[in-house]
Amino acid sequence: MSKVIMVVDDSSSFRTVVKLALQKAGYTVQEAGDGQEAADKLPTVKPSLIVCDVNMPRMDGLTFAKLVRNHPVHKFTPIIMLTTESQESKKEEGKAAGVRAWITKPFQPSQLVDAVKRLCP
Amino acid sequence: MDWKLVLLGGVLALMGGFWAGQVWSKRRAQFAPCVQTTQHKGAVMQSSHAVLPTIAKAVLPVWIRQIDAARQHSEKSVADLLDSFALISQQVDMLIAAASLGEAGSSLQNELERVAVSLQSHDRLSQILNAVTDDIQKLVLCVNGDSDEGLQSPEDWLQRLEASYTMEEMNATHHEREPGKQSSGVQYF
Repeated sequence: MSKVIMVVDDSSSFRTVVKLALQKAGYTVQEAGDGQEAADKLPTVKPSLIVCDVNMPRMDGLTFAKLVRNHPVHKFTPIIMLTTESQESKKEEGKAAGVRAWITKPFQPSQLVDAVKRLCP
Repeated sequence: MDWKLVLLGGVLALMGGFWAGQVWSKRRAQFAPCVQTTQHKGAVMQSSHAVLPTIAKAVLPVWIRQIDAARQHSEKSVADLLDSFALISQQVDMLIAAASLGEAGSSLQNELERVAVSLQSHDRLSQILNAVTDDIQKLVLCVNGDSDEGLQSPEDWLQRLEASYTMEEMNATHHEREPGKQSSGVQYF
C-alpha cells in the first residue's frame, strides 16, 4: 500500500501540479484547500508526510504546522513547506514550528519528490 | 483628502508596475503614456482634483471587476492546461515504459518537468493580482470615507501595502528594482 501525502494549498492548480508529481512517484495524495480543512481531515487521514503552503485563508500553514506538532497522533509527521514565501523570518518561524524542509515556489517536481523520499523513506 | 489624491496617483503608477506581467504587457503599453501625459499636464490636474474622488469611485470598482474577470479566465485556462498536461504526462510515462527510448525518453521527462515549473507561474501571477485588487478595494473604501484604518499619509499606505507582500518579486516591483535570484533548492532544517 502506498504512503499517503497530505497536500495543503489554497490554489487548486498548484495542488494538481504537486499531486501529479507525487502520484507519479507512487504516493497517494490527500488534498486540503487550507490549514483549517487539513486540520479537519487529520482525525480520518493518516499522512506519512505533509506538504503545506504558508499563505492560505482561514488557517495559514505555519499555524497548521504548530497544530500538527501538538497533535497527539501526528506530532512526528514530517512537514515540508512549499511556498512563495522566502523571508528568513518566516523560515525561522517554520523551523521553530518543527517544519523539516522549506521549498520556494516555483519548484521542480523532482526536487519535491527527492525531499519527500528523504523525509519519508 | 489631499493625501488620498496623491495616493491615487501612486496606485495608478503601481498598477502600471504590477501589470507588467505577460498577461498585462499590452495593456500597460497603452496605460503608461496616459499616466505620463497626466503628469505633464499639472495645471489640468489641479483643476480636475475636485472630480478625482468621484472618478475614482466610479473607476476603481471597474478595475477590480476587470482584474477578477481576467484572473478567472486565466484560472480556467490553466485548469484546462493542467488536465491536458496530466494526460500527456501519463501517456509519456507509458510510452517510456513500453519502448526503450533512452535519451529521448529522459529528454521528454525533462521537458515535462519544465512545463510543470512554468505552469506554476500562474499561481504567482494570481497572488500578485490578489494583492493589487485587495489594495484597490481598500482605496475604494477610503475614497468613499468608509475606511477605519486610520492611515494618515501615502507613506503609511505604501508601508502597509509592502508589509502584505508574500513574494520577493512583489517587494522588488514595489521599489522598481530587479528581483534577486530565487533560491531554487530545498532547505532542510
